[in-house]
Amino acid sequence: MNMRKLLAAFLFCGIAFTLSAQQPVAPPPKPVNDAPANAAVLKLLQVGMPESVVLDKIHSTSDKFDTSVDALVALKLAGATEAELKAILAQGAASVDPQPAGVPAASGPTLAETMQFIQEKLNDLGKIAWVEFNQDATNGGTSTDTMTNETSNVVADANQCRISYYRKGAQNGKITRDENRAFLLRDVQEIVVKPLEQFENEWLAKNGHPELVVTSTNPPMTVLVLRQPHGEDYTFRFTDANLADRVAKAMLHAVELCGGGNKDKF
Amino acid sequence: MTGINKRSIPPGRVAVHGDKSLTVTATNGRNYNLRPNGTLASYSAHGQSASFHANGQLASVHTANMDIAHGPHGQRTIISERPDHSRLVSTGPHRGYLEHSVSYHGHDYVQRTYVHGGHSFTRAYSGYHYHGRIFYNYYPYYFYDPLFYGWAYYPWGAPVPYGWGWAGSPWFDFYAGFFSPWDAYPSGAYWLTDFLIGQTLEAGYQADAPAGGYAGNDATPPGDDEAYAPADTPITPEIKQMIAEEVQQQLAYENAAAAKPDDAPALAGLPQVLTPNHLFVTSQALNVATADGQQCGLSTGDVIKLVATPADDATAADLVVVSSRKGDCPAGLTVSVPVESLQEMQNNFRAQLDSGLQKLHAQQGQNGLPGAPYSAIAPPPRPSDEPPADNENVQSLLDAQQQQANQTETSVTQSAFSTGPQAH
Repeated sequence: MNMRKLLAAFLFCGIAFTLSAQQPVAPPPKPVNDAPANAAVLKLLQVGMPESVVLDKIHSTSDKFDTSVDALVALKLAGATEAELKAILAQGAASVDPQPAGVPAASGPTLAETMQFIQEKLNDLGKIAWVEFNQDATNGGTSTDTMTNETSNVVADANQCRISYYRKGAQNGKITRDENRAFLLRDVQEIVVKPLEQFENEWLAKNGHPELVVTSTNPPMTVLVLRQPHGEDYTFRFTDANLADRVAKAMLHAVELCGGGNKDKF
Repeated sequence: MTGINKRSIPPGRVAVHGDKSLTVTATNGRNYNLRPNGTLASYSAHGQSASFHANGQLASVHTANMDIAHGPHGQRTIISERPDHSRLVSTGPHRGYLEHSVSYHGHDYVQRTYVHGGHSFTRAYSGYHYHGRIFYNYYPYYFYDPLFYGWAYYPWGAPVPYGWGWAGSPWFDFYAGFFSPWDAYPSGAYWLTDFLIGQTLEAGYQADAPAGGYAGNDATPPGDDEAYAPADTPITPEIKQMIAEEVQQQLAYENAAAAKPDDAPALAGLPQVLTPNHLFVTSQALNVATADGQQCGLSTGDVIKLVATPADDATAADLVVVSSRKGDCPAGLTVSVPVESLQEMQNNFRAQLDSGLQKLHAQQGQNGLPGAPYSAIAPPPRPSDEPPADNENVQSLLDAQQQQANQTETSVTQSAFSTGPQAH
């Protein structure tokens, strides 16, 4: 067999990369360990321990809990109930007071720097387009939708802890969204980054269409969801998943500096 | 004389070489190369060729549409190019893969559908140019949050005792004395090292396990042109530590590639690791040559070390054997390995690392593994955009290929010793 012929057969693929040398890369960031009290609760949640047992553990611990927004989000994602979160807040509240709006955090960028970053990155999103591949489970039928989304006029106001923007969306050329939106960071209860198809499928199932599935998107899309009380969502779509993660972290930091997050009081 | 060497070479014109080896040109364009001790080294005629070990066993067969290679422990690798330019590769009975190019969502991939032990799975590879040639780089199933790569990269604190549950498994017993896992792990990189070596050996077990083969048979001394290790040179803790450091470095590469998947070949591919002293773990049986022309074999799990970054126009690189099994290339020997084979080893390394990261993500905080901070595992892994699974029945294609290889080997051997007119 002629291996050169085989390689030539692959040449038509239009391979994109040409490499010539080693590229230096930085090590990954080092994660900060969970507070011991949080870690113990997370471990119980992970194995599905009953709520009563988790509550007993929370009440009996003498360690302080980390009640930052990041830590509460982590507990919620691990399945903590409202009662468990309230118990943790009650136990740990004395040690962690939320920062008042506009006050720099003990570490990390200031609120002004964070909001500037958010404003720049969201304005850079501009108009993006992608294709969604769909399947109908009832008959196996498939379809595609060409989608566009435009994000512009983003203003991240550090003084008011408020983000406003213009959003225009279209599906197969038909406009589905055309609106100015705004929200206060202190109202944000949850920040989630997920693949767009996952977000769409959750929405379809919740709205009575579990049989419709978005199987994939081209290019792969990521959505940043800012969840408000009463289930209201503010969403931003990204073609760059890494950028979505970075903006989500900046949002989380801004929410913390603005005194947002879970607002349940004991 | 044993095997093929018991049979007579047809009469023909004989040329004697300086090293006392012979070339015999017989009727019908048949050529025979004989070693100085009279054993048959190779035969060729009409676009077909075969090579033989000194003990008379078949080493390789080449025809217009099939390449067959026999490894040191009896493993047989068969490569066929199909009419649609896809490539079918058997790495042992009932195991192998079908490879073809596919365009999906605007990206071009090479996809392999593997069959191992009755199970099938797919892997995707994206192509890139390197030194003027095309190579195919493994494409991971998932990308993770940077903090998860960081959690696997940095020390966990105190070493974590961990049991793999491998004792009693046939593959683990087979490699007893050659590979042993650590009892405790100071970081994810060390845990991943044992995982990927274990997985590689387990995957290679069915191909390596059959008795026979040309190597390690004390009754048949090697020919002057062959080198066999007289005993195992195990994968020591020191070697594993060097591999663990490479795993740690690869985690940094994977993190960089996860941030920019389209640049993955540049950030986490073979060119990143073609540096002096880099270790490669052999992922399938391979016959290689030494600088002075000797032949020897490498088996799954043998560890080799790159001597120097290959030159721009090089198609092969020099590597020193660091650990190997009895009958393989001896430790300390420098062998020449095709760059394509190093790409295969690097792809297997990354595929096993990918599986290990999935297991680590799913099982952190359980079975003795430390829990990762939630900031590291809360963001769900992002699935990569890869082509859908192949629908062809690869198992039946591989079975048919095995039968065709048997016929090809018989046919080539018969034509070599036929005394009648040659049909071609």
